[in-house]
Amino acid sequence: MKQISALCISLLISSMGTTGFGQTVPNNGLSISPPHIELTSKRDYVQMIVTSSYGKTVHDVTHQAKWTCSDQKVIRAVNGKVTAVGNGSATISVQAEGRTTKATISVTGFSKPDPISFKFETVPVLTKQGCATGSCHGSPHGRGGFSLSLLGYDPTIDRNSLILDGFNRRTNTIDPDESLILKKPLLALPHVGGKRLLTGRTPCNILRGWIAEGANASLPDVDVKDIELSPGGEHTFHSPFVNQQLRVVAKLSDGTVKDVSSIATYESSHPNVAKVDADGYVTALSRGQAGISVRFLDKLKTVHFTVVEEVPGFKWVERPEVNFIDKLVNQKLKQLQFVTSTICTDSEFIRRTTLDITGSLPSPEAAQAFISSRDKYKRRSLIEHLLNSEAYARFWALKLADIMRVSQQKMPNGGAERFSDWLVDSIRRNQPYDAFVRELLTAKGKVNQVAPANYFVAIPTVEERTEITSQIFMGTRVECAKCHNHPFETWTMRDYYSIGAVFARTNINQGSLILTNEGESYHPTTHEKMSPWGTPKSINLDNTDRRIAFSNWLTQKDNPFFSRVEVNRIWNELFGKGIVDPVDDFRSSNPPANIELLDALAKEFVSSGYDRKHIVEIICNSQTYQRSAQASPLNTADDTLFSHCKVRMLSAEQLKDAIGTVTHQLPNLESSMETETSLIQKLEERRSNFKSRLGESQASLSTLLTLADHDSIQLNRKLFEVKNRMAFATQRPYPERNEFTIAFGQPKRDTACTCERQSAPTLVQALELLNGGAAYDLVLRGSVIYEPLDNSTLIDMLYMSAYSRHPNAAEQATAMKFLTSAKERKSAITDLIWTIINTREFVFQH
Amino acid sequence: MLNILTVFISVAVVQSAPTAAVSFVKDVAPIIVRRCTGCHGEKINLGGYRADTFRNMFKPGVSGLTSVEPGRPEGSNLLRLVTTKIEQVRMPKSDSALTTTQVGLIKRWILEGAKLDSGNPNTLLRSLAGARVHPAAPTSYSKPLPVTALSFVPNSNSIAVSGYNEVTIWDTVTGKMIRRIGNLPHWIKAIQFTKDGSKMVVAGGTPGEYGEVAVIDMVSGKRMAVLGVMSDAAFSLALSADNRYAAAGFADATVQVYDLQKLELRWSTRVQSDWITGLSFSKDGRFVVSGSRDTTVKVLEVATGELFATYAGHNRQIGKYRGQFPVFSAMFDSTSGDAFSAGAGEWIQRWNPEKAKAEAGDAGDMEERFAKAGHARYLEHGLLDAVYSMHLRNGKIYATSLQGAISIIDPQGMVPFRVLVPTVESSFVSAMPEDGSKIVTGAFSGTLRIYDSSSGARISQFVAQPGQSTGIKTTRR
Repeated sequence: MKQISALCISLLISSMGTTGFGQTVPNNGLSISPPHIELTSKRDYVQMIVTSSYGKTVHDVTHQAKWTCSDQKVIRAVNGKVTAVGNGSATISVQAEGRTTKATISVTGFSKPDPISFKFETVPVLTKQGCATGSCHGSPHGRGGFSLSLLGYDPTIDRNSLILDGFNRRTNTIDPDESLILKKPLLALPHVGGKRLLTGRTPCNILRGWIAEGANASLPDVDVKDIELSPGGEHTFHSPFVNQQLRVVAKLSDGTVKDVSSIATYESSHPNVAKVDADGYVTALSRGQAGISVRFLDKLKTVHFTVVEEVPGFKWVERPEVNFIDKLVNQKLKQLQFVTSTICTDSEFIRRTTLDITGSLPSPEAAQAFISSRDKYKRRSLIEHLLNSEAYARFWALKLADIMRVSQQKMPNGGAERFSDWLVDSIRRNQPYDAFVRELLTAKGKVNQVAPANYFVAIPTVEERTEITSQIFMGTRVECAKCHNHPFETWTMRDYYSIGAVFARTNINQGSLILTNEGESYHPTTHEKMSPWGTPKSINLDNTDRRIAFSNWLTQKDNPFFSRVEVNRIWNELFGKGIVDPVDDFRSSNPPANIELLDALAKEFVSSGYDRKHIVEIICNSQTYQRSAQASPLNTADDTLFSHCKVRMLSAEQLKDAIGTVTHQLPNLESSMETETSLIQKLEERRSNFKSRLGESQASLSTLLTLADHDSIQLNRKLFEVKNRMAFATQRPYPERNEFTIAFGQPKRDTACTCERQSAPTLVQALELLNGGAAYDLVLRGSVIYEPLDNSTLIDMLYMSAYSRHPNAAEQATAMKFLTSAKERKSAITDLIWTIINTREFVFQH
Repeated sequence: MLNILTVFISVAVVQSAPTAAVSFVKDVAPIIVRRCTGCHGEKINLGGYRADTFRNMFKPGVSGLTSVEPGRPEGSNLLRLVTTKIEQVRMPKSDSALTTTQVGLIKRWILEGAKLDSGNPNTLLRSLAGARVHPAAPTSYSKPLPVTALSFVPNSNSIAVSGYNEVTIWDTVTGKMIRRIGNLPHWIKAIQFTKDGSKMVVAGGTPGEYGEVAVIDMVSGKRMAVLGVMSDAAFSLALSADNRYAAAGFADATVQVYDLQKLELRWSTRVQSDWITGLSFSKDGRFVVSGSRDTTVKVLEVATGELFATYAGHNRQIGKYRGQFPVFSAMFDSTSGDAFSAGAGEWIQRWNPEKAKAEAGDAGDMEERFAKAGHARYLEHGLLDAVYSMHLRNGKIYATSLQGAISIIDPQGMVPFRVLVPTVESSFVSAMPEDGSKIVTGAFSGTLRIYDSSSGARISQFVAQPGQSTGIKTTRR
């Protein structure tokens, strides 16, 4: 039975070759990589890969192919892994899909000793078998009294643990099978970590062999310079071809090149999409994208796979593309066979865009005007209008203030105000982002004069400065590298302490941010004095502000993080999900959902001169942004590729202000400038009043009197409130936290992580909306505004305020019936507003 | 058909069986320990089944099936699971199957009534067999064996060195091996001689599974008594000044005191949580101190085994001497009643058991105690690595480091340390003769290095390993 099905498959494959791809597609044949191998020692091996291609499509046939060696006394080949049997040369011929290819192999040095290398074999095996993970012996204090370096980052620690620390307890060179280090993972002795080794397999052979050869743990002064993955980059699986064999080659600093496919560690970012076995053989399982990360000692590389499945009923519908965003998003959707949703309605558009750009709901008047406008370019105009508003600057400053930890506790004595004003001003005048970051990171002087210096006040330690700066501007969580090399990335302790060295001389002293002449960052294990990141070696470190070189490095055009991280943050704000998600966790094992899109946006950002407003504008103008939240059966499964709008709850501040808008308890932002001007005018009037009464000679006295005058005080207070938009939550970079906003996830600003803002729905939120004091008070006051209106206008106004749309006939009828049949009109109105703010259409952005 | 077959097989087995009954302790338990208890043991019990003791073996797991039914192999789930042909079900899971011989032994044991032939049914199976019979040592060693224990033979120039399944005795002058005392545990971690040299006490075992403290009669070279057996190796050893008592510390943190005359256990206690690395009796024989890798040093009363005091100076959260340092060596002063303890960290710590007890206090006065510096004295040793051995001779402390360096420290802390020998090679252990004239380090490579204890000059060095010996290299100028 098994044989028959195998036969069927091979028939299927060969028919694909001839008829499936037709006569029009050239049969390019098989290719074998590498075409020539030299095995130079007894244990040397090479993982070969055989690829079959038809026109532009290629697929892996390494395991399906038939491998025949011309001389079995020289080599052996199993699933493409070629091992030496004896000195000589041989040809290997590979047959697959009715075609043949050949490779030549020579074996030398078979009889010379080939000892197992502790650093390049034993240590990687301990990582591969899971011994050195953070939850087992790789944890800071080890497990069960035995500790290893996390994922083999420091072979010296491993050598000490295996041999020196245990009084030779763990290895037994005279009778290797009696070694504790073998008996435990083989479960010949109780082992909390369970079975970790299988007898006869390569990892077990390496560990056992290393002990049998004398457990030699000398550490050569050679490092892994790089690992090379074949195939690297990106690949697509089209069923029925669902496999790919990987080859990993390590390039050592002494020039040695070594196949390490059998001892590298493989891990899939999405094991439900594509899995990978211990020998680097990838199998696609379902539609989607997965990164396969390959680790060898401190080197990590990722190969990305897209798995395409034929979706029944899928038919790509071409929709107009406005800019490169649509083109790149659609390209990915088309490949993975997800359809796009249609474009959202005008009502949805104005509500969504106004919330995203200004934080508030559109006023009912604005919504009404927009819906009824016949202007062909009204969406574009609205975006432009909103981006030029003060509300945009204030709302986006709030987002920056979140991650820069702005609060009165962390930036005391007016620092929070000054820093916030500086943030708002930077966004208001659309300061190029690179200039903004340079100004921030190189700030010095009195913190009550130099606003950006407060950034360093909020993060007083070198560690915080290192970690938070990296997290915000490089999207990288380097804090792992404080104690050990980063387990999922190529960040090392050296990197961490090099960045630390940048900030080691930045001190806050008596209200001033000063640069001192001393202060260094030392590597905690090697005690080496680290040179600051970004500073060229030739520069004398004593007389320079190390932060300048770092900022220049960070903001240069080809910095791999800077522009990508920022455009991704903007994207995340507008879509509720980053292209890399979470936004501050950039690493090759957390690949972007659409790498071309991210790169194109970053390129656009750089070429626009780091123009944040421009990026928001092109995104909002894209069809991708303007898609409906309505998913179809053909795209509902997609939650990463932006085929439809992601429905998300309003943020705490947005919701608070939205209730204010519906209940008409917030000053109209469109007219607030007027109010401000009129208040200033009134104050000026009072001043001149005093002046005229006292005469020109008593000018200073009149100013004093104005300050003490009751009316002037009131006017000043009012002016302060209007100017700082105190009535709003979305319009202040550091709004106070209260029960309502805490319930809806307003962050405490303890960290630089956007994840601190909670977006998960909770029961407390439902209670706040149903019974909460804050909402109740606003609804009660709002009902007074609605009361004088006739029922029809009232209902329309309410719908327009809350949803930016008119009620439909059924809604209109229900509400009308409710109001007319109510015994007490005022409480009926209260109930109606109440009902509206508790609907999902209100609480969510869509 | 099946029944007939079963009967046939059982008959065949019974007929071919030798007359002696299968011993659970000798034949079955070792198989269960090696092949089953990894997953069905004290720490992990997959499928709700434990096979760590004889009694537990009979308790069914979550399947509820009878695991062992005396007399009826076919009714015993244990046998079914180790013999089934279905790979996914067969035990040991994802591992090679039991051999036919092993299966035959288990089956016969069940057929013969599944009895426990000796010992307590609640004893861990790995300890059930009691003292092991050790094989002879290899004639010559295929690989250099790190020296893990060293002790001068009293009143002689010869030194006892840990070997593989043996202790070898070498003449320090000629560098020649003069005696091999075999059939001992393969890993020897501590050696002590009685003052008259008539007996040698040896601690060791098989790491992770067996520990033994044995007394060797030096005339016959035979093991005359096994004082203690444990489920992990014995790590440290001390004899009381009057040679009445021996104390041993194990990897599982147990400390035992034995009566050396009666050759029996006095008491056993476990008040620490990691390897017991250093033991010493006070001169008056009242206390034994026990240093552990868990950073504590405990003072135990020799008479009762009660905990007298805990010294916590190697684990300080605040102050100048803060840090968490495993302890590798502990000893008593010859005159004052003070103790010395050392390990990782820059200091040898001198402290007094009575004062340590007074300072211990409880949670109520914690803050007050934290504020106080304590009575201990911190003697800087000047070595770059952890101290693994200490000796008190000629009124001085000789400390050796993991890297084979030697330093002389004034026990009073009045004279600064003097580094006698700088870092040489990884070494776990050192020894000095009673007269204190020499100090010998035993290295990872199996090499002994003999130094003059006052000048630090290397007198000689040789590889103290059967088959690896390269002969003496004299370096005296």
